[in-house]
This record gives sequence, C-alpha cells and structure tokens, in this order.
Amino acid sequence: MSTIAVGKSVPRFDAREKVTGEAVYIADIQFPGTLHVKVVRSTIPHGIIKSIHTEEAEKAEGVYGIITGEKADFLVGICIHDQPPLARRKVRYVGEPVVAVVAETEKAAIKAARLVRIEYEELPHVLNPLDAIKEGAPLIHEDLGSYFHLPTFNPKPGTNIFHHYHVEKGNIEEGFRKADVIIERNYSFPHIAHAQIEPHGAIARWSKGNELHIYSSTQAPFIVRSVLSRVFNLPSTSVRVTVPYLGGGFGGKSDLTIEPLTAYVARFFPGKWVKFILTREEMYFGSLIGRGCYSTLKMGFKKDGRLIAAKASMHFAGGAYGDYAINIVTGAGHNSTGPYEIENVYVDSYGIYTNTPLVGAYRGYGHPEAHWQTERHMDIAARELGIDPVALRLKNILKPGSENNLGQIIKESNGNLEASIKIAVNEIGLGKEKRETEEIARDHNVRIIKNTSKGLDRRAIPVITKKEEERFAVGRAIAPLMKSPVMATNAGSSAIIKANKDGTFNLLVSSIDMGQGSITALSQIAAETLGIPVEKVRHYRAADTEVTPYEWQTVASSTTWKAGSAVRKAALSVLDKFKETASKVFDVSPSELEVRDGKVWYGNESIDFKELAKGYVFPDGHAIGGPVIGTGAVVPHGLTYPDKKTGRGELAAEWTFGCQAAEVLVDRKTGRIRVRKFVTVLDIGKAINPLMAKGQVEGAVVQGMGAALNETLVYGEDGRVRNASLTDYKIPTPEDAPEELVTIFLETPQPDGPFGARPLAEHGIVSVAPAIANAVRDAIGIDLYDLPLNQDRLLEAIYQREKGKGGDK
Amino acid sequence: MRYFAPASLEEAINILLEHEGAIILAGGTDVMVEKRSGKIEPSAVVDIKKLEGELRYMRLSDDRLEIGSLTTITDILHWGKLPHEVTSLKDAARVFGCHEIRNRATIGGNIAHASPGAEFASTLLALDATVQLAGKDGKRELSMEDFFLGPGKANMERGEVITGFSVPLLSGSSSCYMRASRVDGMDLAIINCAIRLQDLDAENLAVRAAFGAVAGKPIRIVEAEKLLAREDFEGVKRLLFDTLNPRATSLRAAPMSKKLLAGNLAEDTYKIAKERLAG
Repeated sequence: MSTIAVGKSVPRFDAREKVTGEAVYIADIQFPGTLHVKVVRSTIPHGIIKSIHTEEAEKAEGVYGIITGEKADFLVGICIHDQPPLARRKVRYVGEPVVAVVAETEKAAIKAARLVRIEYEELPHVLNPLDAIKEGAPLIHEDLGSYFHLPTFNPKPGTNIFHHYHVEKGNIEEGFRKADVIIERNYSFPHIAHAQIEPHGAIARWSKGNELHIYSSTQAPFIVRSVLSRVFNLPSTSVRVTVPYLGGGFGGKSDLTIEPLTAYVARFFPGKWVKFILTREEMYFGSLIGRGCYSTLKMGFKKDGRLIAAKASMHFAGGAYGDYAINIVTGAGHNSTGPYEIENVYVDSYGIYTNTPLVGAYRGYGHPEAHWQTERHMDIAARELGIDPVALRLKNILKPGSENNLGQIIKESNGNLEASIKIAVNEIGLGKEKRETEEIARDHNVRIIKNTSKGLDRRAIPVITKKEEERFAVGRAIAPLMKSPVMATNAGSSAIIKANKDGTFNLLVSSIDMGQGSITALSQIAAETLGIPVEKVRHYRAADTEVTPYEWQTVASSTTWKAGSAVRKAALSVLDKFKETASKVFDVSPSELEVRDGKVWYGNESIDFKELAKGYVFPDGHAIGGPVIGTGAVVPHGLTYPDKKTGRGELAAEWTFGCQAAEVLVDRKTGRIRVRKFVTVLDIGKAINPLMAKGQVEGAVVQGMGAALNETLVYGEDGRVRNASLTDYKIPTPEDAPEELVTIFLETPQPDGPFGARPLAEHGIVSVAPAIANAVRDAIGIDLYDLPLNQDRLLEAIYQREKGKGGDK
Repeated sequence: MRYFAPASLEEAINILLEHEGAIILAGGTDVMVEKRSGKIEPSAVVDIKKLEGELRYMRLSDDRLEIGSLTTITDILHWGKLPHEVTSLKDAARVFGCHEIRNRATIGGNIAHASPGAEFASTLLALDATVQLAGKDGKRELSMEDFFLGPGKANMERGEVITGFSVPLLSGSSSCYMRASRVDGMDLAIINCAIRLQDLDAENLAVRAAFGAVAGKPIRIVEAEKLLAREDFEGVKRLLFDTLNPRATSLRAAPMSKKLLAGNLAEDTYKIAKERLAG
C-alpha cells in the first residue's frame, strides 16, 4: 500500500520547541498572585498522629495558611477509595503528606514548613509484602472493610491484602501429578523509581462560584476530573483539568497523584492559584513508584519438554495505599506464566499494603514482574530437562488456535511469536547457522522493518592490556514476551477534527504526549485518512477536559492503537461530510464520489477541501453544508468482567507478542555486567512512524537495563528511602546503552487498529531483565533470582562460588 | 546569605576573613548541590570565577607541571601538551562526571571538597603533587598527604584559597587512574586507584599507589606498593581484602564489594601504568 503519511519516519513536531526550551511545562506556568505549597511529610513509617503544632509556622513571614487533613471528609481512589488527601489520624509511610504550608513564595513555604511540629505515637511497621501477610503483622488499614471498591476487586478486610486476583484453568493438582519434572523457584523485583525528567506538579484555583480549574502534569485528565468532581460533589462541568506538555510519564503520572491534595488545599483560598511542584527528591516518595514483586513459580513438564502445569503466586508491595497498584495485580495475573499454552494453571496475585511509598503504573504494568519469573524459569527448566532453551520455548508457545490462561483463543492476527523468537535467536547469534533475517521473515510470510543503533564510546571500560580469557565471559540468551493492555471494559477514546478554509485541519484529542510522540503519530493517522500531507494537520498541544474530547487515560500503550482508531474515524467522518456536500453540488449520490489529493472527485470533476470546509458557496452566493467538524469514538472490543470463580474471560483487548535477546560481557573480577548487544523483535502490526517506534523500543530497553542492572529503592530499617536522589539512585546514561541495539518490527496487521497498528510503547521493557540474567547464566553459570543484578550481587555470588559454598556450575 | 565576586585574590582572601562561615564557589558542582540539600548553610558565597585570568592555567617547566586551581576538568581532558608521565590526570578527567559537569567543575574545587573518592585526590596523591594555598600570611605549599584530613576536611585555614598544584615529572615514570562505578556515564567512584611507576634500574620499580573511597580520605597503602613492585597481585588482593574496612552505610557498594574490588583495581591500574612505561 502506498501511503503519504503513515509508515513514514516523520520527525516529531514538538522537537524544536522542546530542545529550544520554548515548550511550556507545568513548573513554567506562573499566574499573578500564585500561592505556593510545601508539604510537611511523615518522618515515621506507621503511627498515630497525636498532635500537630502549627502556631510558629503560622506566624512566619509570607504564610497564608496551614492546612491539615482534618477537614477532608472524603477518601480518594478510583478502584478502591482508601486514601485521604492529607493524612488523617494515622500516617502509613515515611513521606506521607501530613500538613500543607501555603505561602506567598516557595521559599517562605519551605521556611515555614520547617517550623511545623508533629507528634506521633509509633506503631510497628512492615516493609516487605511477605512479612505483611504473616499472622500478627501490623494492620495498615483497620477500615479496609468499609472502603468503597469496584465489584471486580477483592479486598480482604482484617488483613493487609487490598486485592486478590485468582485464575484457574484445568486441574493444577492433576497437572503436577502427570509431570515428569517439577521446578519451583522464588523471584523478586524490587521497588524502583520512574525518574522522569519533569517532577510532578499541579496548580489549582477555586473560583468564588465554587468551580475548580486545575493544571496538572497528568497522563489522565479525565480520571482526575472524575475523582475531583466525586470528592467535591461537583458536576463534571465545574471541574476543569488542563494538561500542558508533559516531561515524561512512564505510568508514574497516570491515575491520580498530587491533584486531590492540591485541589483540597486550594479550596481554602478561593480566587487564588495554588501551586505545588515536587522536588527531585520528593519524586522518590511523594508521587508514585513502581514494581515491588515477590513471587514463587512452580512448573511441571513432561520429559519431552511439554509444559503441562504452572502455579504462580505473586505478592505485590503496593505501598501504604492500594488504589494505583490494584490493576497491576490483575495485569500481572493475566500474564504470570508467560506466552505459553498450558493445560493446567493456578495463579494467585496479591496486592498487599506495606509501609512504603505508593506503587503505581510503571512502564510494563505487571508484565516485567511476570516475565522476570517466567523467562528465568524456562531457562532453568531447559537445563534440567536437557533441552535447548529456544526449543523448549518454541514447543510451548501460544500460536494461532491456542487457548491462553484467560480462555481467549489466539488468532493469526495477534502477531507472530514464533517468527519473533526465530529472528531474535538468529540476530543474537544463537542459531545453528547465521541467516539473513529477511529470509526468516519470508519463511513466515511476515513483513519486517529492521534498525540497528550503535552505542557511544564508553569512557569507563577498562582497557585490558593482556589477554585475560579467564576474566571476561560472554553470554547470550533470549526471553520471549507477550503483553496485553489492562483497561476498563469501556476505556473509550474520542477525537475531533475541524476543517479550515485553507485546507488545513485541527486535531483535538485528550491523549497526552509525554514524550512518546503521539502528537506526530496521530497527525500522521489523520493526514493519511484525509489523504493530505501531514504538515496540514495541527494537533492541539494541550489536553483540556473543557475543550478536548474524552480519553480514558494515556496508559496501556493504547494511544496509537485506540486513540488512533478514534482519529481515523473522525477523519472519515470529515470526508463523509465533504462528500455529502459535494454530492449536492454534483447532484449525485455520495457513494459515486472519490476522495484524493485534498479534493472530492466525481469522474474528472473535483471540488477542493478548501471550498467545502466552511460549507460550499454556489456561484450565485447561496451556501450549503456549513463548517465541517468530524468526530470519532471507540471502546475496546468486547471486554468482559472476569468470571468470579476462575478469573477468566475476555480480559485483554489485544495481545502483542515478541522476543528479546541479550549478549552480555561479564567481568568476573569486578562483577560488572555490560550489555554488548540487545535485540528486540516485536510484532506491532504496523509502524505508523518507524523512527519514533524505534525510539520507543530503544528507550524502553535502556530503561529496563537500569532496573536489571542497578536500580532499586533502598529502605532504611525506619522505612525511609535512603537513595532519594539522582546521585544515589543511578539510572543508565547514554554511555551505558548497549554497543549495538537492534530493533525489528514484524507487521502482521491488527484488524481493529488504525492501518493495522497494535499497541507498542511499554513492550520494549518487558523481557529485558530476564534476557540479561539468562545471558549472565550462560556466561558464568550462576543463576540469579533477585533484581537488580548489581555489582554487589554478582561479586558476592562469584566469591561464594569460588569459596566452594554455592553456585551450580 | 551574601554573594561576593571578588576581582583579585587579595580581595577574595579578605572577604573570606571578614565573613565567618563563608564558602568559596568555583565551578559550583558541589557547592550548589550541597547548599540545595541543606548540607551546608554558608553565611556568604565568595565566587572566585573572576580570578580565572590568574588561576586557570596549565604550564610546563623542566621537571614540573603547574595547574591552576580554576582549571576545568575539560581543560585537562583536551590539553594537547599533557606529558605522558601524568596521563593519570587525563584518565581521571575522562571518567569525571558528565560533559556539563566537566565544563564547570575545577580541579581546585575537586580537591578542596576533600571527598574521599574524588577523582583527582588519589590521582594527585599518587603523583606526589603539592597543593599551593594563598592566605593572609602569604603562600604555603603542602603535600597531598598533609592536605587531606578526613571526609570533607582539608588542611585549610580560614581565608585560604587553593591557587594551584605542582606535579613533579619524573623521568622514566608513568601513571594510571582507574575507578569502579555503578554506571559508565555520570557517576561517582565506588572506589578508585591511582598509581605512579618509576624505573629505578633494569629490575626495580618504585610504586606509589593511592586509593580513594576506601577510608575517610584518599590514602597511600605502602604495603600494597611493595607487593605491586614485586608484581605479587595475589598478595595485593589478599592484603586489601584483609585490611580494608570500608563503612557499611555506603549506597554505592557493600563493604565486601569494595574489599574484593580494591585488589583487582590495583592490578588493572598497575598493568596499564606498566604498559605506558614501556610504550
């Protein structure tokens, strides 16, 4: 298919604004007379608030007011309402907001905040979810039984379990009875931080007429509106949420974060803009963090490698409030045994309150946790079975016609996992013979786009002068992946396109471009559908609940696929209106008309879009039609609620399959792992913008490498995050990127996606950690089960093995 | 807090004497971070960037390299005339911070901050450099050993400014600096090692080995030097593993890792220095 916009590597429209500093982010917005908020946070992980002394702070210069949670008569939440905007009666983690100081300047607020004194009665606390479910563990929410929750969630009052999701397929006991080899292991994935460049911020004002306008760095303006209108008992029309440019989200700005607090505080100062911007340090405990999963996986195989039983139990440290982690628990449950067809499955996924910062969405949303256990496990199983790890996987993968754990039948159009694995194997050099990737693609009758990026020179790599074969070990391994979006059954998207008299168009949606490039990609979809150059489409740069149309939220890698479908429909409706008017001019039926090159054609005669945009004017002056606006809307196809007993149903709107592979160099002397080559193969249906699609994957891979090799939030015994800074929480830099980053897209079209596209965004992160850990096993023969694979862990493991105490090679 | 930007060294010294609790600002890559975090609360900031004409230089004499304290890390990294004997300075500059930090940070600031793991601290210590200070009573010169007192503590009187460093260029010598870090880009050293070798005669080498981030200040370990001179690498590893006692609270690495890394790093650093000596 020849295209004019889709499938082209259009450079992103917002690039110039962003690199020159013109782009306006939340912290840049400064209204006259703005008041500034500084929050006084809990210094203990769990306790009763005995007293709050604010007298001195109130007298400090520039202070407008000191707000506590006392007057907040509501609990915040979407799926489960469990969180006050400012702590009430109790604190549940170090860093929980207790008092908000509102002052004329940020400086004055910081100074006054230091004068607030809070007295606590300390309660025993618990940081690890496995401890939190033990008998006699400190109870973090005594009132769990009275919280409102949506019917699909399953809290256990009287315990710290805020959600239990269970999946059952076949008969697990029988499965294990029939198995020849049973393998069981424990795995862990620690809490990590998103480390977005832009810290969270919100600016709120209540009008004297009791209407709320809030600017926020959120991925979810309509969720924010819905929750704020609920808690303040206002119609949707009285709450307006505006989102300027976002400087990185990665899920950390989805759902809600600091908006209810900001709106609650602002309510005490009607007519004033009240601004609350987190510091870099607060980003590690004052908004959302990610992951924190402790799991046990047990698999039963027949001698020939057939995987016939899998039992997974996953425990998520959701933090002190569970609302934002609750769907991760379910999402991980959907994916907990990887992209394999297994007759007998038994999954328990638990969301557990812990006295730690709140866990929310983090790129991958349960999938990296699930794949960390599954893909490590498959490698371990292959060795125990004496079967090649690639062959073992190929024997068990989900293929067209397979039934997944949820009872869904996999279709041809879900993508080609088998081809993905074979291509990844070939690219990383694990194949019997090196073949051309294009040749493998031809074997499988699938279109591919391949891209290779070279890494920067690494300053710090030791130049070893003598040959030291004993020292460096090279390892290679693969880790397949699958991902489905976790979303409300009615997670809708909509779009508006307005035609202008010069043949240009304005596009309005409420999906947020937080760096992923949706402004450009959605414009390409609109342009392609309208049949015009992409420069003629202007995507509105902000989202505004009063202006732009409904979008559930910008999560689940769903913008190109779902918002993109709405945009395509909106563009088609513009064309329908053009044709309707043109049909009256030509006096024919609209079905006899064609659209191309910015014109509506009847045979050899045509009318330009320009003449139709505002309504057509006949030579005598009389007009028909009127200004043209197209709208489009979609909801996911046929999603259902899970079955109460088996946890199964139409729970995933689509599946994206792929495979990742790593080549690592392990320095046995220093315990440093360096990723030399990393390969990602994904069947994405259609690359709307190959350049940005590649960027998405490369960014995800490097972000995933950070979690695999270094990142972890370090808690003190007292529950404090000890490494709350970029000095002590190390994320990878460009120099840490692999020397060779290979990204290969397969294009098996998605029937309900625009131009065949299916979700792509988070996917590149899903199997990074297991691919690297499997390659480390291949290199030095040590199996690791806990992330991150940092120097401490490797050195310790190598040291112990050399002392003959452990290791298994 | 007051801000001063003196135009002469004398003026800077006077302002520092007049304001108790004043701090010197050069590149600001440590001062700004520590001020923001509340770790320091200076009464005044004395910005000495206007003294660049006087204090930003690299000069060679017959047997010494003179480096002004306001010389930036980028200056060192890109200086074409750096003698091969002191290549360790380039090694340190190469892994220092990131582009932006290297452009701002100065060698004087890196030393004045007296961080136990500073790149140039162990480097200059191994090179047997001296630090030059100016104060109300004139100038004085200290060995690096005498300069570092403890974490964040340097042998500097109130009113003193580091003006530069003097590095001996020994004939028949070479040097190398290496570090272990968590990431290859912007990071601080887990531990570091700097070594200077000098050919004494056909069979004997003189070794100076300095280690950073293994104690409260960068230190020479004479026993390790002796073992390295004999190329007894297993001995060096055993010695450092048995004798080092790094603090347990480091967020960069466990004490065990530092003990294991030190000997390996010493071996690597020695081997590269040795290669440089030959070539």
